Amino acid sequence: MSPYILAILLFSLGLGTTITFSSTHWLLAWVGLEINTLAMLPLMAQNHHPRAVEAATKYFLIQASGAAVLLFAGVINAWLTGQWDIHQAAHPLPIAIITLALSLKLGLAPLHSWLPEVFQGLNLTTNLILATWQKLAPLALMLQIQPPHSSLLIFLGLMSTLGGGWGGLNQTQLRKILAYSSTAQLGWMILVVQFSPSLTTLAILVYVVTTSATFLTLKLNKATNINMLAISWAKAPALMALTPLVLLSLAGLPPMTGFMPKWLILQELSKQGLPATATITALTALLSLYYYLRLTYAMTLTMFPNNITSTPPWRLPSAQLTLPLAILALAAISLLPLTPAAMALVAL
Amino acid sequence: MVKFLFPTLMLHIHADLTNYRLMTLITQSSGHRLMIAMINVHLTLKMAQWLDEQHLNPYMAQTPYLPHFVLLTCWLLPLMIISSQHHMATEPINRQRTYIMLLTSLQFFLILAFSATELIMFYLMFEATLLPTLMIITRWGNQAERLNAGMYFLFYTLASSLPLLVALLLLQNTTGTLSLLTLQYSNPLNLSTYADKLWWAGCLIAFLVKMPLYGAHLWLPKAHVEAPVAGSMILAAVLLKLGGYGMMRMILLVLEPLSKELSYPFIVFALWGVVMTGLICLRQTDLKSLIAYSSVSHMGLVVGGILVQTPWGFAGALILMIAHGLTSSALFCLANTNYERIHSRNILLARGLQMVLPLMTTWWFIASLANLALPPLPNLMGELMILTSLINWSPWTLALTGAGVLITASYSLYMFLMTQRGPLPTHLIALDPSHSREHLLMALHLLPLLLLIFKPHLIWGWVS
Amino acid sequence: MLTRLPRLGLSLPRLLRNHPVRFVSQSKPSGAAGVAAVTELHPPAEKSDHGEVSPYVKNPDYHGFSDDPVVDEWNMRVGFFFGISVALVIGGAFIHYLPDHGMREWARREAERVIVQREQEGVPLLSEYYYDPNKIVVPGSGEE
Repeated sequence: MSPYILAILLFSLGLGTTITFSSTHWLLAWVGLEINTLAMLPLMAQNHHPRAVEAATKYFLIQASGAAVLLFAGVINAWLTGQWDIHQAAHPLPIAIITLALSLKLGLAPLHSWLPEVFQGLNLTTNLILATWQKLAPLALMLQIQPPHSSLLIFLGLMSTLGGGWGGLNQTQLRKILAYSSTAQLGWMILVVQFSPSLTTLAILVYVVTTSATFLTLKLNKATNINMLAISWAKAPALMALTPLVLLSLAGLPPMTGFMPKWLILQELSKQGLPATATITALTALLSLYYYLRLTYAMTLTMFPNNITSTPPWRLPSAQLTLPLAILALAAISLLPLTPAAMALVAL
Repeated sequence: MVKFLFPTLMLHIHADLTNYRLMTLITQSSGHRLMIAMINVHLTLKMAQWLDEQHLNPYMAQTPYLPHFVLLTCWLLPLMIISSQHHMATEPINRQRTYIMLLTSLQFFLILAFSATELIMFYLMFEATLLPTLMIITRWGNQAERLNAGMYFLFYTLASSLPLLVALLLLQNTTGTLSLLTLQYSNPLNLSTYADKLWWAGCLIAFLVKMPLYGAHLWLPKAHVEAPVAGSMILAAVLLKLGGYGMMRMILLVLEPLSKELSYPFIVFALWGVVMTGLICLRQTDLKSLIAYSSVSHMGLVVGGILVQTPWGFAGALILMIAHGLTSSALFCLANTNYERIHSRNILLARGLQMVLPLMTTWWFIASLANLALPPLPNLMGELMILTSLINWSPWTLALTGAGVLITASYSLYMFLMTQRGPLPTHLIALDPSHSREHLLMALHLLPLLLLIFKPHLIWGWVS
Repeated sequence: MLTRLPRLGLSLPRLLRNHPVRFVSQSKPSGAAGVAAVTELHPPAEKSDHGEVSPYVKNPDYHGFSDDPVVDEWNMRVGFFFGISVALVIGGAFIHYLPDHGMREWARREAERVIVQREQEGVPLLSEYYYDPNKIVVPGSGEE
């Protein structure tokens, strides 16, 4: 792909999300989402691979229908209340529809089935964009609407943590596992979005950091399934000794950064009088932990024998920049002591 | 606090930068650790004497009964390194470094866990110890089943301790603080509803699984059997005590009114576990598994002692935990010396070792007798105090505890007799003699235990 | 639970039958001749059946720390010095001569002294009042 075209696409990607961020009008928000989707599609299909084209098609259909439903809900809202303002959408019907449309775009369970399929068809860089940047615009809208009843969001959140955990259990493909992981993580954010939007912001921030570190690691090792991960300990031993910590941080095990949002979310939930929800959510995190732990086992905790064909990559230096990976991995592991600073950062 | 946290952290750098011309990395760092242990002895005693939880940082302090645990941790970690010498000798130097760093971080987290005064801080460190332990078990274990054992270990502990987190957060909502220094002055909670009982269970089950209580103990023998020697040692000696320590802290401060009724089933279960795991021990052929089940059995007594909530019960639990920490760790080391020579954990393959390793038999003898709580060893003091407080609670417990003590004696002697006495099987004649390193290791385990006979009130805590 | 009983019952006789087999040695009767015969069957230490070379072959003073004799010796010395001399001996002496913690020993001695004194005087060991009630001056209710 020509660098000019790439630049234009990436700028449009940024533009779409920024328009959504800054809009107070449902139509403009919709426009931002659509620009975002349309800029993403060529990036996805750039490899001319049947799977990539399939993924791009699926992504287009899902995002377009999600955006269409969103627009439809915006129109209903305008019809019922006479205005298009996002912050003043007060009627329960359009808000419920919008919540569902946004959860389709985000890939929240039970509307998440497209996500692993799309992830599986793309390369890791595009996946990284899909898992991080593409979540921001719908989530920003999610933060702005005031849902009339909390049970819908709690249902979506619990289903996502459950579905994300359950779906990933049986996978051997890393991209699918990370897609399910993304669903599970978004479930946590959605659970708390109505009680403390700034906590959702913190959670997505931490998620972006940890998942970027994971994707960059996989990209460095060119690993897309567990077997390839299993032989990558010889390529980058130090990195592979560190990656379990990153993965377990993604899982939210305590001494790592990933525990910070989970802890604060559980605190918020129990403060809101939902200890049962908090307990169930915490326990569903164990489902996700299982597959992270399995990756950890394959990667570092067992020594898989290396065959001859996997030895040349030891000698070849990677063309990938390692500084971002180093910074992100460090941030993903060791930021838990900075919890108060992080809370101040998102103004809790 | 910083006086031993900082040297512990320095050990990370030490392991990374050290130049190992004359001394192996292992010995250097164990020497370093012993110095930390010494600083710690000095410091904890000083603190226990003059500070008593007052002039300390509000997040970390040492309570009167807690120097014991920090001391046990700091004492055992150098021993773990010495014991791993043979295990690590063939590994490349970078992996040795990684290993020592894991042990160091484990020590760091354990010290923080034992000295945390904030319950959330305690919880965080309680969980943080899981990760290095998991790595030690699954990365440096020997058999393929270690992966399964690691899963069991992690998931049992996490599934029981996540409700604890929610319970702690609820407590914070009610009282506004989780600092143990403040909690003791807050109003007693009004716990009456069904949900409060669930909350009580949520607070304790994490520790009961960690102890482990009979019924939730399945992870422990697996983890012990598959872990390398250092993993078994730290697991038996310190990590189980983390559960007991947590129970002592929680039960006195916040769970007070409810525990009287609700602890009945748990006490009964714990004592039943003493008998049952003892019986399991009697028919074990796997040496490490036998010692692991014996740990479960002893911890059952500790749970009983803590849950009756009398000063004698607490003191007995504390004494038994310290003494058992040293004893079981010593037994695991001994099992490992057998394993390094015979390459099997099976008792039937390693019989009659007195003929070839006579001095080792002495250590086996002392360790077995300590395990069966021979007078005047500290193990007996602990068991007697727990037994007394249990009888005071209900005379019927004597049936279970009496049987438990009898069975403990039987399997300890069974272990000793099977491994040491009798004729030597022919395949064992060409064994290596025991090394000075192993004698040092055993001496550093068992001499403190024997010395405690002369000054038992060091570990008596409440009563003395 | 009940379904297990017959299993236990079945296994009991088997256990009893097996025990003698397990405890009785299967090897030849001991004695100089027997041992010699067995030793001939097994090659000496350096060719044990696991393919390991005993470190004692190379270094008869092996202490278990390192293959290099000098390093081994030094490690042993350092280990024993810090472990036994410093930690146990000096540490033990330090603990032994520590001052009385929380005045516990003093309290015990004092209690024993008071008991002996009271027994000699014939007064009950514990008096009802910790302070003499006559000496306590209660402030009058009128001064407020």
